[in-house]
Amino acid sequence: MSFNFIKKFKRFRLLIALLLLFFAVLFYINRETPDTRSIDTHVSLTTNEMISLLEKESSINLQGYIEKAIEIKGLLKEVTHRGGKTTLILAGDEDNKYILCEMQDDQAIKVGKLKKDTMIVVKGIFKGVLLDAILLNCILIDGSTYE
Amino acid sequence: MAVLMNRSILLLFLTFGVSITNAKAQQHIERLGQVTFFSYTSVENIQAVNNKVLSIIDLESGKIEVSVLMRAFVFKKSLMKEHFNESYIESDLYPRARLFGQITDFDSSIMGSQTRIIKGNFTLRNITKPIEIKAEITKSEKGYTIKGELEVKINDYEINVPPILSPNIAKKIQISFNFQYKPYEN
Repeated sequence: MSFNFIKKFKRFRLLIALLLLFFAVLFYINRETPDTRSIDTHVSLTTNEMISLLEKESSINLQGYIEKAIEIKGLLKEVTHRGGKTTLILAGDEDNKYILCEMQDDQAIKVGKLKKDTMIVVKGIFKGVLLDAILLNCILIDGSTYE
Repeated sequence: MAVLMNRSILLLFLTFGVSITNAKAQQHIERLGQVTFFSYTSVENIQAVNNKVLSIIDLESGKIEVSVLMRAFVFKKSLMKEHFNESYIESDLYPRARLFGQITDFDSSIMGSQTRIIKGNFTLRNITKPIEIKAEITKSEKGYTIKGELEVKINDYEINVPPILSPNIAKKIQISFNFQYKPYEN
């Protein structure tokens, strides 16, 4: 093999490596929020268990759930559609404190079949607490098993 | 004497109970309020929406309180969300933004819309600044709606943007909000 060929081959490899790096950076910058289905469930709770944790918000447990995928089983109080987003409001035994689950956009058909006052299970990313617990990118795990 | 005392306690309890009930009746709540922010620059436009903003309004006094969970902002790209929560807002340290305000000359009996100024204090990253917001308040059969816009300077809240990203982030962030209240049932 001639010296020129080896030199050209090295340049070609360098070019390929730079292109790969460029596309990797581009992918990293433009990546979208992952589908909740692809995220492992950190913990499964009932609405009552979750709401009891809200009472002691500063507890290490609840802080440890932030940005983690959580499964919640509870009574569907209300379905709201606002700002292009669907939110399920889950209730426990306590009045005035709820679990707010903003659904992933691909859940519209499943949510359309839900009935008020039925037990459902949702999985979403826990974001924190105001008066209620807030989960985003929620998916419906089961909308009928617990009816 | 004992009967009189018991009656007094009962009267006090009833009076206090009624005043609490009245106070509650005057309070309206929004749990799914929308706050959107925009950062416009020649390099990049960034927009994020939060559909889980909490707000309580007292119709009698015109007091309004808004609480925003910073991690509940939704961005188009994950990297924007990461920069926002980890570098700019530091959401682990300062998870909420809050507004305590007073609506000036608010008359809750007016049907239709009224434009009013909300004067109050806005706290972000533990830094509180006085703020005035022009808001449109509408009373309809469904309840009360408050919409408005404000502008926040990032320097006022010590939001540090790395020099390399400085051209991408506007110095003044445009914020709009839309709250639809329901009677607060407790």
